Amino acid sequence: MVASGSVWGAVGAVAEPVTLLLLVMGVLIGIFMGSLPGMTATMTVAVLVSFTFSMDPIPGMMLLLGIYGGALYAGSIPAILIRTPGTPSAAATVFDGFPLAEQGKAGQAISVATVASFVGGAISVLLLMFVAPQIAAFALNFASPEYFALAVFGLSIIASVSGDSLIKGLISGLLGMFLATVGLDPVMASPRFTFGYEVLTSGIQFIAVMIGLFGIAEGLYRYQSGLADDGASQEISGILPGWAVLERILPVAVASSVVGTVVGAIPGAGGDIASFVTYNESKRWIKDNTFGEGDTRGVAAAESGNNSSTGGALIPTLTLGIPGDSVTAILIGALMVHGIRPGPGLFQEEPELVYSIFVGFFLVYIVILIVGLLGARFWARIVDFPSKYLWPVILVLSLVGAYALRGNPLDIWTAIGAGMLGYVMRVEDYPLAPMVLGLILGPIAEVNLRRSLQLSGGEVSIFTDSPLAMVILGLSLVSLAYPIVQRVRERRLAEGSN
Amino acid sequence: MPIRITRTDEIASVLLVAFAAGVYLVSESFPSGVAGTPGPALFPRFIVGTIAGLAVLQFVNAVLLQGTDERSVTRDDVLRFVVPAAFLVGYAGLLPVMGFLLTTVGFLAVVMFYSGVRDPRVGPTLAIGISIVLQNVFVGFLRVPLPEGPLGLGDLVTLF
Repeated sequence: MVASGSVWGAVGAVAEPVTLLLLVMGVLIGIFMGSLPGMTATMTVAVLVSFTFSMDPIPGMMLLLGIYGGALYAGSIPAILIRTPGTPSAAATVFDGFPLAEQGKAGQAISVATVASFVGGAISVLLLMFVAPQIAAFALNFASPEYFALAVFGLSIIASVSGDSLIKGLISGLLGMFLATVGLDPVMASPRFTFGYEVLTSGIQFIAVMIGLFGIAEGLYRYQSGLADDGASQEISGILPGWAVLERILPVAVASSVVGTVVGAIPGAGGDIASFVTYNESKRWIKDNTFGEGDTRGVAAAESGNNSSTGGALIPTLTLGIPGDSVTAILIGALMVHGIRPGPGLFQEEPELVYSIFVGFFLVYIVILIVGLLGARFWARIVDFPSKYLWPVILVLSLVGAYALRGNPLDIWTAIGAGMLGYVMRVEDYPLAPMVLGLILGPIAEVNLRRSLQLSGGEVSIFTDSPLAMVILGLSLVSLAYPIVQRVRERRLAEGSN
Repeated sequence: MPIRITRTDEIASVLLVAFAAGVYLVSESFPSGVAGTPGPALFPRFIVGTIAGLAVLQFVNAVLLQGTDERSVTRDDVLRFVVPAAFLVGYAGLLPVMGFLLTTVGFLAVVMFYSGVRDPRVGPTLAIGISIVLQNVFVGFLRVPLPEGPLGLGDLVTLF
């Protein structure tokens, strides 16, 4: 049940001039960065999160949510114009967006992408607003065994986000879990892997690692690849969509938004997975489709799926403290810098913040709709922004951002170290998303495992006595085993057909 | 002349097993748990034990696939990684000593030149301008203290 008093309080908080300004700035920055091929929303949020540390939580979150929504939307622009997605989650938009551009309909494709992004984002925020409080209320019944099971479930998702190599994905996730053990043991407060350095007793700063993994590693990769710029974009026209186009795309956009929200709510499944799921399902269900040849419904399906994953990702983030994707993992880190721990208690302890996130995020998509349609010609020019000016600035922002965490030079070294590790992992095809999951969920799993065993005097029955914990652990096994079984089946089918 | 690097998965597997062994050894000094509950060593050991097991699997997999993981690395490839990495390390080392403003101006000017900005007016101008903007945003607007350095230039350019 939505608390109406909290909603109005939140509207008031978001309507503050500085907060609104930060929200709009966030959207503009997100669109700028998302329009640049290869820039991810995660990288942009990681590099800029340090700007929010000295702000109050609500304005800080509005800036980050603006960047999040703006970047995910803007990835569609280079996807349509130069067949190169601005963000990985816009990859599915290429399939019909680029053919439309080749037919001289780039303007129409961008307008469809903008409207679909708005529909996807808006619907996902509405679902978030109604579903999240219910889940949070239910999760208040969770105790340590259930939280341990939930963390294990979140970690089991690693198998799904491991890409081509399951082994490498699991290793990446476990490395993330290991990094999180550096510092004081959460139960007995004894130092682990600090080697006598007092500065390590507070652990390795998660945000510094994220800045390194996503900002600095990408920079090193770009320089190592020669810092090439992509091809020039084309002129566009006809930005405002007509009624015929709207009539055609809206049913697909609405349906894809619901599916995308559900997919986004799965920890680790971000916009990239959501957009492919909605694209494929729309292709399956729409009988007269011409997907792949410039069908506006294909663009709508991909973009609404992509953007609706944002609201979905916030569901486990806010209600359970489990990140829905890499960006929400950083949002968790940003909130923790302010001493706020996401989870079911958040709805009781910080209702104004929670509902400000709902209201603010909805506003983000309204701003995206307006700015996206009116500024499309300008955003299309950003695709050509030279890397030689951009990447030195991104690297400086990464380094300064890491330092700004707590004014400690160790955090810059952490970011650089994580950057080099991230670069090596990328070259050797170790996926980064599992490491992020491991970093966040590892401590949750450990603390709740040890607390549970402390309460039960070492008896494992504390888990088996909880039906909910057993159901979640069972789902974890399925989640871990399913991708393995799928791959074995695919291999056998391939061998059989050979 | 390019260098062929093969068996990277096997090398990575060996390194991971060595890492796991090292962590296990270090964790021997951790205190034990109380009243039958696990101590601080359990979780890290579980993690690196699993990493070691997966690394062995990866090693076996790589041996069976024999020679599919191979890449060619030239001197230029190495330099294009080492040089930017050296810039980053240089920035981190100089920041506490020279202060934010000087270090950032130097970093931006050098890295932009390395990135291909050859106009002697554009690179330094952008480097100085961007550094001053960042100084004002972080120190002036966000009230995030940054290292001053020996010359105290930060105060001179911070408008807020």
